Amino acid sequence: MSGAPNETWDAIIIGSGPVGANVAKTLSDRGKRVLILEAGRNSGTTYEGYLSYVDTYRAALVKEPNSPYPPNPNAPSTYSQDIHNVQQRVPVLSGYQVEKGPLSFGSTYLRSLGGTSLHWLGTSPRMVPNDFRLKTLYGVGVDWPISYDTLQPYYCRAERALGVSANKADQTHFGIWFPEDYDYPMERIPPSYSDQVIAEGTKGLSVTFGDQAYPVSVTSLAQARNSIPRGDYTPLGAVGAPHIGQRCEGNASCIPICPVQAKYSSLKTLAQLDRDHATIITQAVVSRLLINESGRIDGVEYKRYAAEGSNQYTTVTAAATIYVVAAHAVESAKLLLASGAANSSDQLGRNLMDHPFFITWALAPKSLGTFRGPGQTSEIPSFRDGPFRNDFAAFRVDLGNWGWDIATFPPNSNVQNLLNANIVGRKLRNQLGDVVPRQLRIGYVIEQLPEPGNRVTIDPEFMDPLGCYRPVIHYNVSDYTRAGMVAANKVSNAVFHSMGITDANIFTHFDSSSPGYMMYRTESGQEVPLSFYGSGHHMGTHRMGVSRTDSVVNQYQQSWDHDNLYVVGCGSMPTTGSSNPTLTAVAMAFMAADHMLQQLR
Amino acid sequence: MTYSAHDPRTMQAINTGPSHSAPQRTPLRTPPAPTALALERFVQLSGALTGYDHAELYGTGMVDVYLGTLTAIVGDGMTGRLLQRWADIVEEGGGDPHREPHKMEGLLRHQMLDDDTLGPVARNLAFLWYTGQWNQLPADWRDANGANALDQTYIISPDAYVQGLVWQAIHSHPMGAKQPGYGSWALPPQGNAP
Amino acid sequence: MPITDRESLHQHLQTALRIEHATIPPYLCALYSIPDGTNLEASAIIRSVVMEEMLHMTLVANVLNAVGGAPVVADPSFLVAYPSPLPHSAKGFEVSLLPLGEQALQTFLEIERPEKWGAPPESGDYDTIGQFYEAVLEGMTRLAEGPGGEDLFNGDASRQVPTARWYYGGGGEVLPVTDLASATRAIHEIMEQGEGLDHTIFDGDDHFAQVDDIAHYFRFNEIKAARRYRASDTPKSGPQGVELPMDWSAMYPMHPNPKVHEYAHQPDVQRLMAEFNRSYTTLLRELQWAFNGTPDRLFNAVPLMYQLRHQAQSLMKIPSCHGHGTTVGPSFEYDEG
Repeated sequence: MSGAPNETWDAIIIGSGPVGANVAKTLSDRGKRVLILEAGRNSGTTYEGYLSYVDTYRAALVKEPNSPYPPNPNAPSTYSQDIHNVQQRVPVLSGYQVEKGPLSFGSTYLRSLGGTSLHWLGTSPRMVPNDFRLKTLYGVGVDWPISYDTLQPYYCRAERALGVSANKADQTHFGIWFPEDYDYPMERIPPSYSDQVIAEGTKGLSVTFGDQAYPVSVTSLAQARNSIPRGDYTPLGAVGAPHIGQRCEGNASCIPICPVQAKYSSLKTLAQLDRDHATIITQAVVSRLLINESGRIDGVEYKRYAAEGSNQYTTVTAAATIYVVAAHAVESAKLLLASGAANSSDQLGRNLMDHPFFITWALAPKSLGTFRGPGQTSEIPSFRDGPFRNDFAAFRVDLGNWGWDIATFPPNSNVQNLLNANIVGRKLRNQLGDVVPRQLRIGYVIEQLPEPGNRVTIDPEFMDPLGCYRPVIHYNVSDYTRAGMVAANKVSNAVFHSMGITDANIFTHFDSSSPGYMMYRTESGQEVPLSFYGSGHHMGTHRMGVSRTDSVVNQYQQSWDHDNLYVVGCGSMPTTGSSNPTLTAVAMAFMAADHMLQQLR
Repeated sequence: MTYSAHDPRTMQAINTGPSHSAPQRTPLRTPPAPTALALERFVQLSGALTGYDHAELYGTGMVDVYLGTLTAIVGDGMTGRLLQRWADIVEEGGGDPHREPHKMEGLLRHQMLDDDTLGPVARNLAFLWYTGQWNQLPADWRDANGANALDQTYIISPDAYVQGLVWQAIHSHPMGAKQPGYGSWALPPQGNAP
Repeated sequence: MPITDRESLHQHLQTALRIEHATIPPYLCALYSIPDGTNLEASAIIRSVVMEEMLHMTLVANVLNAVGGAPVVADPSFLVAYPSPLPHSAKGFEVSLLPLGEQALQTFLEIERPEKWGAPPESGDYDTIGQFYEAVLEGMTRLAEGPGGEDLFNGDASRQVPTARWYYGGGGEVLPVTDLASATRAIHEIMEQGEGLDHTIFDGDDHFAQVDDIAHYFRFNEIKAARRYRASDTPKSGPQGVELPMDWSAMYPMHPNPKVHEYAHQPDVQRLMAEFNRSYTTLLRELQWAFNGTPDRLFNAVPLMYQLRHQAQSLMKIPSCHGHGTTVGPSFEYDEG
């Protein structure tokens, strides 16, 4: 298993994130010979090496999602400080991704062994059944080629593979169902004290949209984070240090790094691969798929660089029976565009969707015990579905445990403000203690509809040091989603008031310096300012469908154009619902992997 | 869920270099070890600025590190002036920093924090104790007193971040360190009565 | 004093609980004295021993509950005032609270020293802990097989601390005790993890499926020798495997056996020491609840254990009143307030 150029594999998998890793495990567990090509570095396969990332994070001035992972010029990733509001339609070129606008795409991802699962939060809710049928039910977006029922058994597999902690009884809203004898592999993560205060304060609350009242409920959030196991499940600890990380220890730094690896990252899946059947090559950037005359993929070309600090590389070719592109929605689309592959539908790269993350913030009357625990432990699922979806986007309500976080960057900003007013000593200490623990941030993961103009493209004007394309992103947010933000703000105000928070203690405000700043004219003609962040969810760029005319892959994520090519990941999602997509992507990946096994028979 | 954002104020404070890692720190020369008197004054001043007592400050393990950092960045002379001003304040306050706290507070304000030269340094020292981060001194201070190459905004070390006093002040722990254990976040917070 | 009846069995098991606990503060001081990020392997080794000692306490509590007893841990008399011999030790070597170093390791090796072949069970003052447990086993078996023995294991099953729910991150597993067989398994588990019974390096693994580990004695020997054992090594050969990297100068230089009363003249230090002891005492109280019918109180115990570490490491950075570059540390004294 040397990865020598003239070896033939059963499958070559491009990308080592949760999707690539779990496809690799499914195939190699059944004796298939699998080669995984990862563009980034070989990160964190020893615990001591992983701890160096923790140190990098601790010393980082800007503790953004990629901050623990030093930049790699040969497999660049975008860092938050590179993202700026697009002004006057002038593209933003400062980082790896080129932003053409009109709004910047505020999300980042990571190219490294383990992929973006190194820095994700771990939130793992299922989609609700109606998410799969937006067009039929609400006249917007498109329908999926599969239903919740089809995906359900794969959700169970994905929850075990990722190690998701939840209680089934908490998760059955809007028709989400589970087999009778099933429960999650681990018990729900204990709701935070803050969640309990919010639940108490919103008892009996409901918010009306149209002529329907939506009761507000605070529910535990399903998440891929170790907790008390059920049945025969054994929590997987840190790679290389299995006694560490068997339970969440409350480090409260899930984004961007869990110091004890209680949070799932695909490093855990990769560590479990049978090395007799699975080979991993890192620092290998796939630049092209090679297509023969009959339309089959007959090889990949990758650039193997020896050192991150030098753009010297050797070009290597590898061949397999089937090819699995699982490089992340943006990178996968980019690679296929560069290869001239898989795009008879002209949908490749299009329908790029994020969940615009809309935040509101306030000061609660009493301490909520902020900055403790995982970033979110509970949600309000009440607006994930409903008749309002005819008019505006559904959303999932995230109750933050980390104070005002990205709204104002506490606690340092609080220290600075007090010092600027010459408040020092015990007064400084006491005022911090009186105010910061009361910071409440409620965020909204808002659905965005597929739009052909929201897309990833390539342009020879924008290349990286190895001569690969940088992603060029065109992005906007439609009125359907903007109206969802307005509705979200209404929900926040209702929740805040219900908790006894006066308007004077609601601090939500947006101005031209806010990320994703935009104006929206409501139905009543009012112009309201809005702002949004990226959730880090990249979806839609190689969507699945029933027809080759308007989709890139079929329901098994097999390319319509190339029988032996699978394009697997969040990019295959035709619509987004309001659930963080990794769990769904891994479920879809298991469905695709079963199909691959049939092809490889 | 990985909200990507960065604090524009921090971005403005960063002049050069990537924010991904602490820049290489090679002091221009090794300062001589502080005298016991200087150390004691430093700890007293730090206590007055931060509201934490000797034991709590020593418990961070950062006393020597921060005095060394301060001296390296603003120089022996400025550090000496700062500590001497503190000593004068203590004397004027009755010889014991804790005897008349209200009077001490006023003296600290008028004779140090309001001072054009010493005020920014004192505030920087307080911020350093609270966050493990040194902020580049304001432009007009640098114009008036000299701009040292070491005077960049940076976090002193991973451990300095971990030892930041702000986390204790808000009744929690540094994010990514000193983890309080499974289920702790479900319990009522300590400190402020819930 | 031999084990003749249920009451003397209870007393011996309570003593076993006290012995297991008495090793924990010294081991914790050594563990806490390792600054984060240094001596990672030694830290993992000592942590593994501490985890198993806590497992031993839980196993003993389960046995004691199974035979109708009531474990006591939240009482000043339960604690040992260091420096002190271990409870009921015949040899009288003193155990101290020390930072990790040569002296601490010598003591740990003495504590965990395997019993020699043929050493008799000793229910009074023992030479090794193994002898004491042999006596407990023998007495318990005799009672169970004697007249009225079928009633010996009459404890309320709901008082048993359940398996994987609360114990994790260490070797072994908590075993519910309901009869002589399970009680015997539990005691054997303690003995094998501690000293090893059959005089090879590795634990006997008859009863529990777990990762290969070596007995505590030999784990401490690895640190002392700064070398790992290989499968082919014996007690006589010592560890001949790969180097175990040690930075002996990194440890916080805690002065031995700190005491709260020593810092009456430094109220700020004394306050922090008292806070540690308050956390420690609260932990013992939660453990007492957990061992006496409400095992779910361990939910409260876990955060307290983490808090001890952070409080102790802060103390270990404060200059002590003894000079010579030494520092303060946790005193593990019972906090009545």
